[in-house]
Amino acid sequence: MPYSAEISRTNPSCFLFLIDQSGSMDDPFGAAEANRKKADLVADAINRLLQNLVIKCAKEEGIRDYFYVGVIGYGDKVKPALAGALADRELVLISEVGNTPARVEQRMKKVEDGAGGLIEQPIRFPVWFDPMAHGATPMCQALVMAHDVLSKWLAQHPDSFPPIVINITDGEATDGNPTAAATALRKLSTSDGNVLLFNICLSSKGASPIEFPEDAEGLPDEYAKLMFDLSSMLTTTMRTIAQQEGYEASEESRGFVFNADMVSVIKFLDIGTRPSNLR
Amino acid sequence: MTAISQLHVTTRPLWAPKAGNRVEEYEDAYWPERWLRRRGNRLRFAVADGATETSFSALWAQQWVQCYGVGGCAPTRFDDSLAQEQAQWLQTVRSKPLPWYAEEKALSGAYAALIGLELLATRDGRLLWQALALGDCCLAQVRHNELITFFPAGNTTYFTNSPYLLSSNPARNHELPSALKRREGTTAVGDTFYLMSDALAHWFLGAYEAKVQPWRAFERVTASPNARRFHAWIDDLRATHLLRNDDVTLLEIKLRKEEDEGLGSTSRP
Repeated sequence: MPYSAEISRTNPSCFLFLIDQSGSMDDPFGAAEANRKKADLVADAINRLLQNLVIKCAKEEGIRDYFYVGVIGYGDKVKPALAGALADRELVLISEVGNTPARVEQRMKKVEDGAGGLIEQPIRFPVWFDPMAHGATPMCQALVMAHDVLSKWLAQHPDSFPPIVINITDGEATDGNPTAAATALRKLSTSDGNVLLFNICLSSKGASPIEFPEDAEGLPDEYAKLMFDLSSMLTTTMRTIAQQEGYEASEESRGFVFNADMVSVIKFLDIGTRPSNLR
Repeated sequence: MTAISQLHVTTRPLWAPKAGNRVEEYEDAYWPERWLRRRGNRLRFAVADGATETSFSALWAQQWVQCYGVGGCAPTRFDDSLAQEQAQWLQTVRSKPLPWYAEEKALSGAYAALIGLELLATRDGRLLWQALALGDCCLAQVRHNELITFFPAGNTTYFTNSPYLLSSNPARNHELPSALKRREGTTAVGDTFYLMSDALAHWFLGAYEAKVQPWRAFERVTASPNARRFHAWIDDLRATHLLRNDDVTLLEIKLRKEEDEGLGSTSRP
Protein backbone atom coordinates (compact mmCIF):
# COMPACT_ATOMS: atom_id res chain seq x y z
CA MET A 1 0.00 0.00 0.00
CA PRO A 2 1.44 3.43 -0.88
CA TYR A 3 2.20 5.96 1.84
CA SER A 4 2.71 3.24 4.45
CA ALA A 5 6.50 3.45 4.94
CA GLU A 6 7.50 3.74 8.57
CA ILE A 7 8.76 7.20 9.50
CA SER A 8 11.74 6.66 11.78
CA ARG A 9 15.22 7.93 12.45
CA THR A 10 16.64 5.23 10.20
CA ASN A 11 14.10 6.02 7.49
CA PRO A 12 13.18 9.72 7.89
CA SER A 13 10.82 11.72 5.73
CA CYS A 14 11.02 15.35 4.65
CA PHE A 15 8.99 18.56 4.90
CA LEU A 16 9.66 21.40 2.51
CA PHE A 17 7.85 24.69 3.02
CA LEU A 18 7.51 27.26 0.23
CA ILE A 19 6.73 30.73 1.54
CA ASP A 20 5.26 33.52 -0.56
CA GLN A 21 7.13 36.70 0.48
CA SER A 22 5.88 38.89 -2.36
CA GLY A 23 4.62 42.47 -2.07
CA SER A 24 0.99 41.32 -2.23
CA MET A 25 1.47 39.63 1.14
CA ASP A 26 1.57 43.14 2.58
CA ASP A 27 -2.19 43.37 1.93
CA PRO A 28 -4.62 42.88 4.78
CA PHE A 29 -5.93 39.39 5.45
CA GLY A 30 -9.70 38.73 5.14
CA ALA A 31 -12.38 40.86 6.73
CA ALA A 32 -12.35 39.34 10.19
CA GLU A 33 -8.69 40.15 10.77
CA ALA A 34 -8.37 43.23 8.57
CA ASN A 35 -5.83 44.69 10.97
CA ARG A 36 -3.39 41.90 10.14
CA LYS A 37 -1.39 41.53 6.98
CA LYS A 38 -1.14 38.31 5.05
CA ALA A 39 2.63 38.31 5.68
CA ASP A 40 1.94 38.23 9.45
CA LEU A 41 -0.37 35.28 8.95
CA VAL A 42 2.26 33.51 6.85
CA ALA A 43 4.93 34.03 9.51
CA ASP A 44 2.54 32.71 12.17
CA ALA A 45 1.62 29.74 9.96
CA ILE A 46 5.21 28.68 9.28
CA ASN A 47 6.33 29.22 12.88
CA ARG A 48 3.41 27.16 14.16
CA LEU A 49 4.04 24.43 11.60
CA LEU A 50 7.71 24.21 12.55
CA GLN A 51 6.89 24.35 16.25
CA ASN A 52 4.34 21.54 15.96
CA LEU A 53 6.66 19.43 13.85
CA VAL A 54 9.44 19.80 16.44
CA ILE A 55 7.05 18.95 19.27
CA LYS A 56 5.77 15.90 17.41
CA CYS A 57 9.34 14.59 17.27
CA ALA A 58 10.28 15.65 20.81
CA LYS A 59 10.88 13.14 23.57
CA GLU A 60 12.24 13.73 27.04
CA GLU A 61 15.81 13.10 25.90
CA GLY A 62 15.67 15.44 22.90
CA ILE A 63 14.30 15.64 19.37
CA ARG A 64 14.21 12.49 17.27
CA ASP A 65 15.17 13.12 13.67
CA TYR A 66 12.10 11.73 11.95
CA PHE A 67 12.19 14.55 9.37
CA TYR A 68 14.42 16.76 7.31
CA VAL A 69 13.04 20.27 6.96
CA GLY A 70 13.55 23.04 4.45
CA VAL A 71 12.02 26.49 3.98
CA ILE A 72 12.25 28.26 0.61
CA GLY A 73 11.09 31.87 0.44
CA TYR A 74 9.98 33.44 -2.83
CA GLY A 75 9.61 37.18 -3.38
CA ASP A 76 12.50 39.45 -4.29
CA LYS A 77 14.56 36.26 -4.52
CA VAL A 78 13.98 32.55 -4.41
CA LYS A 79 16.22 31.13 -1.70
CA PRO A 80 16.42 29.17 1.55
CA ALA A 81 14.64 31.26 4.18
CA LEU A 82 15.41 29.85 7.62
CA ALA A 83 16.92 32.53 9.82
CA GLY A 84 19.89 32.61 12.18
CA ALA A 85 22.35 29.74 12.31
CA LEU A 86 20.37 27.77 9.71
CA ALA A 87 20.39 30.54 7.07
CA ASP A 88 21.14 29.50 3.48
CA ARG A 89 20.74 25.76 4.19
CA GLU A 90 18.30 23.95 1.93
CA LEU A 91 17.48 21.07 4.26
CA VAL A 92 18.28 20.57 7.93
CA LEU A 93 17.38 17.93 10.50
CA ILE A 94 14.31 18.63 12.63
CA SER A 95 16.53 18.56 15.76
CA GLU A 96 18.55 21.44 14.32
CA VAL A 97 15.35 23.38 13.76
CA GLY A 98 14.18 22.77 17.33
CA ASN A 99 17.50 23.61 18.90
CA THR A 100 18.25 26.76 16.88
CA PRO A 101 15.25 29.08 16.55
CA ALA A 102 16.11 32.69 15.69
CA ARG A 103 14.68 33.64 19.11
CA VAL A 104 12.31 32.32 21.76
CA GLU A 105 9.50 34.63 22.89
CA GLN A 106 7.38 34.33 26.01
CA ARG A 107 3.67 34.03 25.26
CA MET A 108 0.56 33.12 27.21
CA LYS A 109 -1.39 30.00 26.30
CA LYS A 110 -4.81 28.93 27.50
CA VAL A 111 -4.78 25.37 28.78
CA GLU A 112 -7.51 23.24 30.36
CA ASP A 113 -7.35 23.15 34.14
CA GLY A 114 -8.82 19.64 34.42
CA ALA A 115 -11.97 20.95 36.09
CA GLY A 116 -13.73 22.18 32.97
CA GLY A 117 -12.13 25.62 32.92
CA LEU A 118 -9.22 27.31 31.21
CA ILE A 119 -6.17 28.90 32.76
CA GLU A 120 -3.49 31.02 31.14
CA GLN A 121 -0.02 29.62 31.33
CA PRO A 122 3.25 31.17 30.11
CA ILE A 123 4.96 29.19 27.36
CA ARG A 124 8.11 29.69 25.36
CA PHE A 125 7.30 30.36 21.70
CA PRO A 126 10.15 29.84 19.24
CA VAL A 127 10.39 32.04 16.14
CA TRP A 128 12.26 31.00 13.02
CA PHE A 129 10.62 33.28 10.54
CA ASP A 130 9.61 36.97 10.53
CA PRO A 131 7.02 38.58 8.25
CA MET A 132 8.40 39.72 4.89
CA ALA A 133 6.63 41.18 1.84
CA HIS A 134 8.61 42.52 -1.09
CA GLY A 135 8.82 41.98 -4.82
CA ALA A 136 7.01 39.71 -7.25
CA THR A 137 5.62 36.18 -6.76
CA PRO A 138 7.99 33.77 -8.56
CA MET A 139 6.05 30.65 -7.53
CA CYS A 140 7.15 28.68 -10.60
CA GLN A 141 10.80 29.28 -9.71
CA ALA A 142 10.11 28.19 -6.13
CA LEU A 143 8.50 24.95 -7.34
CA VAL A 144 11.49 24.31 -9.63
CA MET A 145 13.88 24.88 -6.72
CA ALA A 146 11.81 22.49 -4.58
CA HIS A 147 12.14 19.93 -7.38
CA ASP A 148 15.93 20.32 -7.36
CA VAL A 149 16.23 20.13 -3.58
CA LEU A 150 14.00 17.06 -3.31
CA SER A 151 15.58 15.27 -6.27
CA LYS A 152 18.88 15.32 -4.39
CA TRP A 153 17.24 14.22 -1.14
CA LEU A 154 15.27 11.41 -2.81
CA ALA A 155 18.44 9.94 -4.30
CA GLN A 156 19.62 9.36 -0.73
CA HIS A 157 16.25 8.29 0.70
CA PRO A 158 14.61 6.17 -2.02
CA ASP A 159 12.37 4.18 0.36
CA SER A 160 11.19 6.93 2.65
CA PHE A 161 7.67 8.10 3.32
CA PRO A 162 7.39 10.62 0.45
CA PRO A 163 8.31 14.25 1.17
CA ILE A 164 5.50 16.70 1.85
CA VAL A 165 5.74 20.15 0.29
CA ILE A 166 3.55 22.83 1.87
CA ASN A 167 3.20 26.00 -0.18
CA ILE A 168 1.85 29.07 1.66
CA THR A 169 0.64 31.78 -0.74
CA ASP A 170 -2.13 34.10 -1.84
CA GLY A 171 -2.00 32.28 -5.16
CA GLU A 172 -1.04 35.08 -7.53
CA ALA A 173 2.06 33.76 -9.31
CA THR A 174 3.81 36.39 -11.43
CA ASP A 175 6.20 34.15 -13.36
CA GLY A 176 3.62 32.17 -15.28
CA ASN A 177 1.19 29.36 -14.66
CA PRO A 178 2.65 27.07 -11.96
CA THR A 179 0.78 23.97 -13.16
CA ALA A 180 3.67 22.38 -15.06
CA ALA A 181 6.21 22.95 -12.28
CA ALA A 182 3.75 21.65 -9.66
CA THR A 183 2.98 18.56 -11.75
CA ALA A 184 6.71 17.82 -12.17
CA LEU A 185 7.19 18.16 -8.43
CA ARG A 186 4.31 15.78 -7.68
CA LYS A 187 5.79 13.25 -10.11
CA LEU A 188 8.91 12.83 -7.97
CA SER A 189 8.59 9.71 -5.88
CA THR A 190 10.02 7.16 -3.49
CA SER A 191 9.18 3.46 -3.52
CA ASP A 192 6.33 4.40 -1.15
CA GLY A 193 4.59 6.97 -3.35
CA ASN A 194 4.75 10.36 -5.01
CA VAL A 195 5.78 13.64 -3.41
CA LEU A 196 2.78 15.31 -1.80
CA LEU A 197 2.12 18.96 -2.62
CA PHE A 198 -0.23 20.72 -0.22
CA ASN A 199 -1.28 24.37 -0.46
CA ILE A 200 -2.33 26.97 2.07
CA CYS A 201 -4.09 29.84 0.32
CA LEU A 202 -4.55 33.12 2.17
CA SER A 203 -6.90 35.71 0.73
CA SER A 204 -7.63 39.40 1.24
CA LYS A 205 -11.27 38.58 0.67
CA GLY A 206 -13.34 38.01 3.76
CA ALA A 207 -14.21 34.43 2.87
CA SER A 208 -14.73 31.72 5.47
CA PRO A 209 -12.03 29.12 6.08
CA ILE A 210 -12.21 25.93 4.00
CA GLU A 211 -10.20 22.86 5.02
CA PHE A 212 -9.38 19.77 2.94
CA PRO A 213 -12.20 20.21 0.40
CA GLU A 214 -13.02 17.59 -2.22
CA ASP A 215 -13.79 20.15 -4.94
CA ALA A 216 -13.14 23.82 -5.70
CA GLU A 217 -16.73 24.81 -5.10
CA GLY A 218 -16.98 27.71 -2.68
CA LEU A 219 -13.50 29.04 -3.36
CA PRO A 220 -13.82 32.74 -4.08
CA ASP A 221 -11.28 33.36 -6.84
CA GLU A 222 -9.37 31.79 -9.69
CA TYR A 223 -6.09 31.81 -7.73
CA ALA A 224 -7.53 29.72 -4.94
CA LYS A 225 -9.11 27.35 -7.47
CA LEU A 226 -5.77 26.93 -9.22
CA MET A 227 -4.04 26.16 -5.91
CA PHE A 228 -6.73 23.57 -5.18
CA ASP A 229 -6.11 21.96 -8.58
CA LEU A 230 -2.38 21.75 -7.87
CA SER A 231 -2.84 20.04 -4.50
CA SER A 232 -2.34 16.30 -3.88
CA MET A 233 -5.06 14.12 -2.38
CA LEU A 234 -4.78 13.29 1.32
CA THR A 235 -3.39 9.78 1.78
CA THR A 236 -5.60 7.04 3.22
CA THR A 237 -3.96 7.23 6.65
CA MET A 238 -4.16 11.02 6.68
CA ARG A 239 -7.84 10.86 5.75
CA THR A 240 -8.53 8.35 8.53
CA ILE A 241 -6.80 10.46 11.17
CA ALA A 242 -8.48 13.62 9.80
CA GLN A 243 -11.86 11.94 10.26
CA GLN A 244 -10.90 10.90 13.80
CA GLU A 245 -9.97 14.52 14.46
CA GLY A 246 -13.40 15.66 13.31
CA TYR A 247 -12.71 16.80 9.74
CA GLU A 248 -15.16 15.90 7.00
CA ALA A 249 -12.54 14.22 4.86
CA SER A 250 -13.53 12.05 1.90
CA GLU A 251 -11.58 9.98 -0.63
CA GLU A 252 -11.41 13.06 -2.83
CA SER A 253 -10.17 15.45 -0.12
CA ARG A 254 -7.15 17.49 -1.14
CA GLY A 255 -4.24 18.75 0.91
CA PHE A 256 -5.53 22.29 0.56
CA VAL A 257 -6.82 24.88 3.02
CA PHE A 258 -8.16 28.35 2.33
CA ASN A 259 -7.78 31.13 4.92
CA ALA A 260 -6.81 28.53 7.51
CA ASP A 261 -3.64 26.96 8.84
CA MET A 262 -2.48 23.41 8.23
CA VAL A 263 -1.05 22.45 11.61
CA SER A 264 -3.49 19.53 11.62
CA VAL A 265 -1.53 17.86 8.79
CA ILE A 266 1.27 17.21 11.26
CA LYS A 267 -1.19 15.26 13.41
CA PHE A 268 -2.09 13.23 10.33
CA LEU A 269 1.40 11.69 10.18
CA ASP A 270 1.96 8.35 11.86
CA ILE A 271 5.14 8.08 13.92
CA GLY A 272 3.65 5.73 16.54
CA THR A 273 0.75 5.40 18.95
CA ARG A 274 -1.16 8.65 19.24
CA PRO A 275 -3.80 8.45 22.00
CA SER A 276 -7.31 9.42 20.94
CA ASN A 277 -7.58 11.58 24.08
CA LEU A 278 -4.39 13.55 23.24
CA ARG A 279 -5.12 17.06 22.00
CA MET B 1 -9.71 -32.82 47.15
CA THR B 2 -7.48 -30.69 49.36
CA ALA B 3 -8.31 -26.98 49.28
CA ILE B 4 -5.50 -24.81 47.92
CA SER B 5 -4.74 -21.99 50.32
CA GLN B 6 -1.89 -20.45 48.41
CA LEU B 7 -1.05 -19.70 44.85
CA HIS B 8 2.29 -20.83 43.48
CA VAL B 9 3.33 -19.09 40.29
CA THR B 10 6.35 -18.46 38.16
CA THR B 11 6.56 -15.23 36.20
CA ARG B 12 8.73 -14.65 33.18
CA PRO B 13 9.04 -11.24 31.55
CA LEU B 14 10.43 -10.93 28.04
CA TRP B 15 10.73 -7.70 26.16
CA ALA B 16 12.29 -5.97 23.18
CA PRO B 17 12.46 -2.32 22.12
CA LYS B 18 11.12 -1.17 18.78
CA ALA B 19 13.59 -2.07 16.01
CA GLY B 20 15.85 0.90 15.41
CA ASN B 21 15.43 2.21 18.95
CA ARG B 22 17.95 1.94 21.74
CA VAL B 23 17.27 -0.24 24.78
CA GLU B 24 16.88 2.85 26.96
CA GLU B 25 14.12 4.08 24.62
CA TYR B 26 11.88 1.11 25.48
CA GLU B 27 8.62 2.60 26.81
CA ASP B 28 6.69 -0.48 27.98
CA ALA B 29 6.85 -1.58 31.60
CA TYR B 30 6.03 -4.78 33.49
CA TRP B 31 5.51 -6.03 37.02
CA PRO B 32 7.11 -7.95 38.62
CA GLU B 33 10.36 -6.88 37.10
CA ARG B 34 12.18 -10.19 37.36
CA TRP B 35 11.81 -13.82 36.41
CA LEU B 36 10.81 -15.34 39.70
CA ARG B 37 8.69 -17.70 41.74
CA ARG B 38 5.99 -16.23 43.91
CA ARG B 39 3.51 -17.59 46.34
CA GLY B 40 0.68 -16.01 48.30
CA ASN B 41 -3.06 -15.79 48.35
CA ARG B 42 -3.22 -12.54 46.41
CA LEU B 43 -0.68 -11.85 43.66
CA ARG B 44 -0.58 -9.04 41.12
CA PHE B 45 0.99 -8.65 37.69
CA ALA B 46 0.89 -5.85 35.13
CA VAL B 47 2.09 -4.66 31.74
CA ALA B 48 1.86 -1.06 30.53
CA ASP B 49 2.73 0.57 27.24
CA GLY B 50 3.76 4.25 27.07
CA ALA B 51 2.54 6.04 23.94
CA THR B 52 5.25 6.87 21.40
CA GLU B 53 3.85 10.28 20.52
CA THR B 54 4.02 11.57 24.07
CA SER B 55 7.04 12.24 26.24
CA PHE B 56 7.95 10.87 29.65
CA SER B 57 5.64 7.99 28.79
CA ALA B 58 8.11 5.30 29.92
CA LEU B 59 8.07 6.93 33.34
CA TRP B 60 4.25 7.02 33.28
CA ALA B 61 4.01 3.36 32.25
CA GLN B 62 6.48 2.35 34.96
CA GLN B 63 4.48 4.21 37.59
CA TRP B 64 1.30 2.36 36.63
CA VAL B 65 2.67 -1.18 36.71
CA GLN B 66 4.16 -0.41 40.08
CA CYS B 67 0.96 1.21 41.35
CA TYR B 68 -1.08 -1.80 40.28
CA GLY B 69 1.55 -4.29 41.40
CA VAL B 70 1.65 -3.04 44.99
CA GLY B 71 -2.11 -3.00 45.36
CA GLY B 72 -3.34 0.30 43.88
CA CYS B 73 -6.14 0.82 41.32
CA ALA B 74 -8.89 -0.71 43.48
CA PRO B 75 -12.30 -0.16 41.83
CA THR B 76 -13.48 2.18 44.57
CA ARG B 77 -10.21 4.08 44.79
CA PHE B 78 -9.07 4.32 41.18
CA ASP B 79 -9.50 8.10 41.13
CA ASP B 80 -7.22 8.36 44.17
CA SER B 81 -4.59 6.23 42.47
CA LEU B 82 -4.86 8.37 39.34
CA ALA B 83 -4.47 11.66 41.22
CA GLN B 84 -1.51 10.31 43.14
CA GLU B 85 0.27 9.05 40.01
CA GLN B 86 -0.40 12.29 38.13
CA ALA B 87 1.11 14.32 40.98
CA GLN B 88 4.15 12.06 41.14
CA TRP B 89 4.67 12.21 37.37
CA LEU B 90 4.42 16.01 37.34
CA GLN B 91 6.86 16.32 40.21
CA THR B 92 9.42 14.17 38.41
CA VAL B 93 8.99 16.00 35.09
CA ARG B 94 9.32 19.40 36.76
CA SER B 95 12.38 18.41 38.75
CA LYS B 96 14.80 19.59 36.08
CA PRO B 97 14.85 22.39 33.48
CA LEU B 98 13.64 21.37 30.03
CA PRO B 99 14.21 22.88 26.58
CA TRP B 100 11.17 24.66 25.09
CA TYR B 101 9.97 21.69 23.05
CA ALA B 102 10.19 19.21 25.92
CA GLU B 103 8.37 21.64 28.20
CA GLU B 104 5.61 22.18 25.63
CA LYS B 105 5.29 18.46 24.96
CA ALA B 106 5.12 17.66 28.66
CA LEU B 107 2.15 20.07 28.96
CA SER B 108 0.13 17.61 26.87
CA GLY B 109 0.94 14.87 29.36
CA ALA B 110 2.10 11.28 29.07
CA TYR B 111 -0.19 8.43 28.04
CA ALA B 112 -0.11 4.69 28.61
CA ALA B 113 -2.15 1.53 28.16
CA LEU B 114 -2.39 -0.83 31.13
CA ILE B 115 -3.37 -4.44 31.75
CA GLY B 116 -3.35 -5.64 35.34
CA LEU B 117 -4.05 -9.16 36.63
CA GLU B 118 -4.74 -10.22 40.19
CA LEU B 119 -4.81 -13.90 41.20
CA LEU B 120 -6.60 -14.85 44.40
CA ALA B 121 -6.79 -18.02 46.49
CA THR B 122 -9.93 -17.83 48.61
CA ARG B 123 -10.37 -19.39 52.05
CA ASP B 124 -12.76 -21.93 50.62
CA GLY B 125 -10.12 -23.09 48.18
CA ARG B 126 -11.27 -21.38 45.00
CA LEU B 127 -8.76 -19.80 42.63
CA LEU B 128 -9.97 -16.59 41.00
CA TRP B 129 -8.61 -13.92 38.74
CA GLN B 130 -9.56 -10.28 38.29
CA ALA B 131 -8.26 -8.06 35.53
CA LEU B 132 -8.26 -4.37 34.79
CA ALA B 133 -7.54 -2.95 31.34
CA LEU B 134 -7.31 0.43 29.76
CA GLY B 135 -6.25 0.65 26.15
CA ASP B 136 -4.79 -2.14 24.07
CA CYS B 137 -2.51 -4.15 26.35
CA CYS B 138 -4.14 -7.58 26.66
CA LEU B 139 -4.41 -10.75 28.71
CA ALA B 140 -4.70 -14.34 27.51
CA GLN B 141 -5.62 -17.31 29.69
CA VAL B 142 -4.63 -20.75 28.38
CA ARG B 143 -5.74 -24.08 29.86
CA HIS B 144 -5.07 -27.56 28.49
CA ASN B 145 -3.82 -26.07 25.24
CA GLU B 146 -6.97 -23.99 24.71
CA LEU B 147 -7.48 -20.26 24.87
CA ILE B 148 -10.25 -19.70 27.39
CA THR B 149 -10.00 -15.93 27.89
CA PHE B 150 -8.68 -13.02 25.87
CA PHE B 151 -9.25 -9.57 27.32
CA PRO B 152 -10.08 -6.75 26.56
CA ALA B 153 -9.78 -7.07 22.75
CA GLY B 154 -12.46 -9.13 21.03
CA ASN B 155 -10.82 -9.26 17.61
CA THR B 156 -8.04 -7.64 15.60
CA THR B 157 -10.15 -4.61 14.65
CA TYR B 158 -9.75 -3.53 18.29
CA PHE B 159 -6.19 -2.44 17.54
CA THR B 160 -5.84 1.04 16.06
CA ASN B 161 -3.10 3.62 16.22
CA SER B 162 -5.23 5.89 18.41
CA PRO B 163 -6.51 4.03 21.49
CA TYR B 164 -7.94 5.81 24.52
CA LEU B 165 -5.19 5.74 27.15
CA LEU B 166 -4.48 6.73 30.73
CA SER B 167 -3.24 10.30 30.78
CA SER B 168 -1.07 12.18 33.25
CA ASN B 169 -3.04 15.27 32.19
CA PRO B 170 -6.15 15.53 34.40
CA ALA B 171 -8.02 17.27 31.57
CA ARG B 172 -7.67 14.23 29.34
CA ASN B 173 -9.29 11.47 31.37
CA HIS B 174 -12.95 12.44 31.10
CA GLU B 175 -13.97 9.20 29.41
CA LEU B 176 -11.98 7.02 31.78
CA PRO B 177 -15.00 5.48 33.56
CA SER B 178 -16.28 3.99 30.32
CA ALA B 179 -12.80 3.21 28.92
CA LEU B 180 -11.65 1.29 31.99
CA LYS B 181 -12.58 -2.38 31.63
CA ARG B 182 -12.71 -4.97 34.39
CA ARG B 183 -13.30 -8.70 34.17
CA GLU B 184 -12.98 -11.69 36.48
CA GLY B 185 -13.06 -15.44 36.25
CA THR B 186 -11.84 -18.66 37.78
CA THR B 187 -8.46 -20.25 37.31
CA ALA B 188 -6.75 -23.51 38.19
CA VAL B 189 -3.34 -25.01 38.74
CA GLY B 190 -1.83 -25.58 35.31
CA ASP B 191 -3.31 -22.42 33.78
CA THR B 192 -0.99 -19.99 32.08
CA PHE B 193 -1.72 -16.28 31.76
CA TYR B 194 0.06 -14.03 29.28
CA LEU B 195 0.05 -10.26 29.62
CA MET B 196 1.25 -8.47 26.51
CA SER B 197 1.56 -5.03 24.99
CA ASP B 198 -0.44 -4.15 21.88
CA ALA B 199 1.80 -5.23 19.00
CA LEU B 200 2.12 -8.76 20.36
CA ALA B 201 -1.56 -8.89 21.35
CA HIS B 202 -2.50 -7.88 17.80
CA TRP B 203 -0.30 -10.63 16.38
CA PHE B 204 -1.72 -13.14 18.88
CA LEU B 205 -5.34 -12.48 17.93
CA GLY B 206 -4.50 -12.43 14.22
CA ALA B 207 -2.86 -15.85 14.53
CA TYR B 208 -5.75 -17.17 16.60
CA GLU B 209 -8.27 -15.93 14.03
CA ALA B 210 -6.19 -17.80 11.43
CA LYS B 211 -6.68 -21.03 13.45
CA VAL B 212 -3.12 -21.08 14.73
CA GLN B 213 -2.38 -21.64 18.41
CA PRO B 214 -0.22 -18.58 19.13
CA TRP B 215 0.48 -19.59 22.74
CA ARG B 216 2.57 -22.47 21.39
CA ALA B 217 5.03 -19.89 20.10
CA PHE B 218 5.04 -18.26 23.53
CA GLU B 219 5.75 -21.65 25.11
CA ARG B 220 8.69 -22.18 22.79
CA VAL B 221 10.33 -18.85 23.61
CA THR B 222 9.66 -18.99 27.34
CA ALA B 223 11.09 -22.52 27.51
CA SER B 224 14.50 -21.10 26.68
CA PRO B 225 16.57 -20.09 29.72
CA ASN B 226 17.69 -16.85 28.10
CA ALA B 227 15.97 -14.22 25.99
CA ARG B 228 17.85 -14.85 22.74
CA ARG B 229 15.19 -17.17 21.33
CA PHE B 230 12.52 -14.56 22.07
CA HIS B 231 14.48 -11.80 20.33
CA ALA B 232 15.18 -13.96 17.29
CA TRP B 233 11.49 -14.82 17.05
CA ILE B 234 10.46 -11.15 17.35
CA ASP B 235 13.02 -10.22 14.67
CA ASP B 236 11.54 -12.87 12.35
CA LEU B 237 7.96 -11.68 12.92
CA ARG B 238 8.99 -8.09 12.18
CA ALA B 239 10.99 -9.04 9.12
CA THR B 240 7.98 -10.87 7.69
CA HIS B 241 5.65 -7.96 8.60
CA LEU B 242 3.57 -10.19 10.87
CA LEU B 243 4.39 -7.97 13.84
CA ARG B 244 4.12 -4.18 13.86
CA ASN B 245 7.40 -2.49 14.71
CA ASP B 246 6.78 -1.34 18.25
CA ASP B 247 8.05 -2.04 21.74
CA VAL B 248 7.11 -5.60 22.68
CA THR B 249 6.47 -7.06 26.12
CA LEU B 250 5.34 -10.54 27.15
CA LEU B 251 4.79 -11.48 30.78
CA GLU B 252 4.11 -15.18 31.33
CA ILE B 253 2.45 -16.26 34.60
CA LYS B 254 2.17 -20.01 35.25
CA LEU B 255 0.13 -21.45 38.09
CA ARG B 256 1.92 -24.43 39.54
CA LYS B 257 1.14 -27.06 42.15
CA GLU B 258 4.19 -26.12 44.08
CA GLU B 259 7.33 -24.19 43.51
CA ASP B 260 9.56 -25.63 40.83
CA GLU B 261 13.27 -25.33 40.61
CA GLY B 262 15.29 -24.05 37.72
CA LEU B 263 14.80 -20.38 37.07
CA GLY B 264 17.26 -18.60 34.85
CA SER B 265 18.27 -14.98 34.81
CA THR B 266 16.16 -12.27 33.20
CA SER B 267 18.15 -11.53 30.09
CA ARG B 268 18.10 -8.06 28.70
CA PRO B 269 18.27 -7.41 24.94
